[in-house]
Amino acid sequence: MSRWIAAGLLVLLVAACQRPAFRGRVLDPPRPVPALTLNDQHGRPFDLAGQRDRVVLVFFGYTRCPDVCPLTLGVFRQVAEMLGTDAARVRFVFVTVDPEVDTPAFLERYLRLFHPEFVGLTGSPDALAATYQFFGAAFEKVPVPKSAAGYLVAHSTHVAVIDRQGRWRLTLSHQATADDVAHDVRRLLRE
Amino acid sequence: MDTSRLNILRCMGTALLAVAVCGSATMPSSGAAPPTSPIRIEKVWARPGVAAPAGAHGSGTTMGPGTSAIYMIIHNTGPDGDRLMRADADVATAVELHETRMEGGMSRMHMVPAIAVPPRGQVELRPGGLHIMLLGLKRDLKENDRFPATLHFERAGAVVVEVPVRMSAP
Repeated sequence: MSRWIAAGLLVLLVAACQRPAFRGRVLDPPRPVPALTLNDQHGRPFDLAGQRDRVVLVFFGYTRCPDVCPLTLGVFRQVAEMLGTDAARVRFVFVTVDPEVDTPAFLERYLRLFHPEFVGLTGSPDALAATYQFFGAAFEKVPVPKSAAGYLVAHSTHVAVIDRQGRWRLTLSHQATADDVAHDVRRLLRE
Repeated sequence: MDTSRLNILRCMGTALLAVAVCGSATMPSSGAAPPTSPIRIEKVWARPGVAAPAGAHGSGTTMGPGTSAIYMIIHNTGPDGDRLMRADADVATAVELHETRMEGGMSRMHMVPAIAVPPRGQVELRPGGLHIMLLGLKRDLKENDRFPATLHFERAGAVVVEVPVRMSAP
């Protein structure tokens, strides 16, 4: 037992020495984000690849989502507070996977609950599909006839982190704490 | 040290912690069961949500947008198990018992018919798990708002709670 723990620690130690200690999963090599132009909650075009010099956190969800989505947005808000003035160098982005319900106007009201600067994206079916595909966002509508909701959306919950060079560098799990996210963002901002 | 002994120690630690936490907790500010009720509600909260815009029903939905979820710890001090059968809240058009589960990296929600509270035990409604789902919000729930909700237990009957709106668990 203890031998395994020691071996495990050694592996972790070696891993820690070999690469910068990000808390998220590192994409190696990083993947340059293609031009993916969606529209924000104010109807303005927003290019995920065109936010140079900013770190971009991208989360896929829907406004009727009961807890994973709002909690991730809650974490984003904590991160924004922890970063202080550096928060201006970060884009916090929520991409809807339920565009029929999540209109720009509704996204605007929803995101305002969390932070006035958060970006809510929707767009044409093609543009959204290309975005989901690139970031590996998976979701499906699940009919729930007994529920007043009619259907619920099963969805992937990771946060993709784009570095200042417009490359997808890290993936954070929805269990990442605000401290974890702020740690990795600060690291990317220092590069 | 072998695994089983480690596990026992871990369990004992958790139990001690639980006793310490329960012992230090004052009367739950939000619990409002009759004094004789074995049901105690602790750490109740709901997440922010916006009211569904009038007439905004997405295709395929009956309820459209505007949701929230209520979380809490339900303690049962009695010798008999109980079950939360349903809940009411005036802020929502429909209130349902749901459970979120992570399956293969995907977050999936299910309806549950009831939430069991073991005798002399507790059940936790928490993000990513069991929750009381509010559908079709009639008004915005903003951080620091409060609203009443009624929990209907099979044995203990109705328990009224005052739910604060927060970003994360208290």
